[in-house]
Amino acid sequence: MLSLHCLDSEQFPSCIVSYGGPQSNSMLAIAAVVHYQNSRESPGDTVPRCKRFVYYTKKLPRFLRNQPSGNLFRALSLGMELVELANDEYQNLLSSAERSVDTAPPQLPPPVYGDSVWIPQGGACSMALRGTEGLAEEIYEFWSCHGAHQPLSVCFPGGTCCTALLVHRALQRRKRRVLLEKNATPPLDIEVVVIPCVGDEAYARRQMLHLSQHVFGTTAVREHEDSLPAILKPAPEDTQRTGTESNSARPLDYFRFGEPEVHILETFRELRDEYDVVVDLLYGAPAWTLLFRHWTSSSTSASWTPWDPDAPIDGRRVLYVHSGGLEGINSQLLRYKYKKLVDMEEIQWPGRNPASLDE
Amino acid sequence: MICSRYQLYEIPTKNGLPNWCWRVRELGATSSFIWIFLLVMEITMRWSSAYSSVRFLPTPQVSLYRRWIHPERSSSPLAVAVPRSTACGASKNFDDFLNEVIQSKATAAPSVDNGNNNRNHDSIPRSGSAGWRSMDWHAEPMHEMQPPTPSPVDTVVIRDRLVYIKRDDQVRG
Repeated sequence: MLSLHCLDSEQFPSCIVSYGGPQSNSMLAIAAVVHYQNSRESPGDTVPRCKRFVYYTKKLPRFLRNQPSGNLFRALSLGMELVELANDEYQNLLSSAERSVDTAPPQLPPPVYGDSVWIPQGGACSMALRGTEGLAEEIYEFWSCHGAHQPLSVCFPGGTCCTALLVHRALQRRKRRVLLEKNATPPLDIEVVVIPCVGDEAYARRQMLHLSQHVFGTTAVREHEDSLPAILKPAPEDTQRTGTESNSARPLDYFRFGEPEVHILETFRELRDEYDVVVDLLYGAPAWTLLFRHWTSSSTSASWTPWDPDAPIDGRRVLYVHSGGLEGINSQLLRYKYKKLVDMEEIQWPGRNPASLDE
Repeated sequence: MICSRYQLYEIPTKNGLPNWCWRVRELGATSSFIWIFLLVMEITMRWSSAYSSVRFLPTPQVSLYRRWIHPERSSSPLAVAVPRSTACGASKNFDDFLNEVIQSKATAAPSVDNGNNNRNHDSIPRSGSAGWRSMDWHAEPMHEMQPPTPSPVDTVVIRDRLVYIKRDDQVRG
């Protein structure tokens, strides 16, 4: 969103159109940028700005339509225009959008002719380049100061896996630049690991290949495959078939996106209560649950080990990139409550004083 | 003669006033009551129509109520100091409906409130991918922004292992 945020008021389009889930982080970020543009005042402005943001999504669940919450509530408050489509209509309209990254589906007309910009789901397009380059630079600089040349695995929870891919590419470029510099120290051993939270390994690979081809040009697929970040497996090879988690008889696999799971909830509570780390329940907690499956074998490593994409956090330092989304915790906890996995006391309701509950 | 004529046609009186005066006063009271009643009815009608979702009114009244609801579009003194019923997101009235019909553009995307059906995008003519603006995201911005402050990194020991957490969820300076 940095590229969008950097646009001047003259450059900023009259309307931005995007699509995706009703609680998308990307949706809220775009709504915030558009609202910021509208509220920003310039000396030359004679009429109030009215930049628009139109967002296509599938039919909302009844509870969300009756009482918008989380990111949806915030985005609507910021002036986002929501367009609900029936599932088949959504698929028909936007399946072509998945084929081409930067262009709108041909059957979708621009809301403002000539000045509407299409942003694909999750902001996964070349728009994200500037922000991810900045993020990669920050990580490299941080580790050059604090890493003491130890190997580092940078872990991203992945939806479209856009951030992970672009940061990975930016880090590669940075390392090449360091190699070309004369009298420079060798580049830092920093690798990117993406933890699939939507779909499985194949889906994540497909998403990244697709994005890579569109953002970095139509070179050979093989070349793109070589430059993808490592994808964390659902479990280490030795435990993948048997399953090691409590009450788990089935083989360990990735989680279904948004589906309430006991293990995800346990991880969420453990991180919050024992380590004071609050993550969201859609990306953060599932990602950490998958990480913890690899944690046991990793924690026994006494010395640093060379990079192995199949065991990407073994014998390496871990840097987890927190992706936010904490606003959606309560709406997700409600789903856990419907499955009788949490009590009402754990959910924060507006206007309820937590202190009164303790008494 | 005249006096006798007066005596002949003496005007009946009541409490020292001629009877016709009383009749006029009674008539005046009745008409005042009628006028007050009509005024109350008029105010009630206007109030109820201003706050109803859709008003079905005869054409002359529509124009009257257009001035009533939208004082800024009317030169009539009638409209002065009458608040807009639709400000602050009140329900849509007939006047707004008319304006929407008049001002609706083919390019307007539907703004959806969550409770309503939102399929009116079907009325938008399909124009293909033409008309979309393509952005050059690689181009330098016209106004160069200061590089944002890096997001902080927390250090936490999780399950006996040192972990760095890049707080990219936090607002950068």
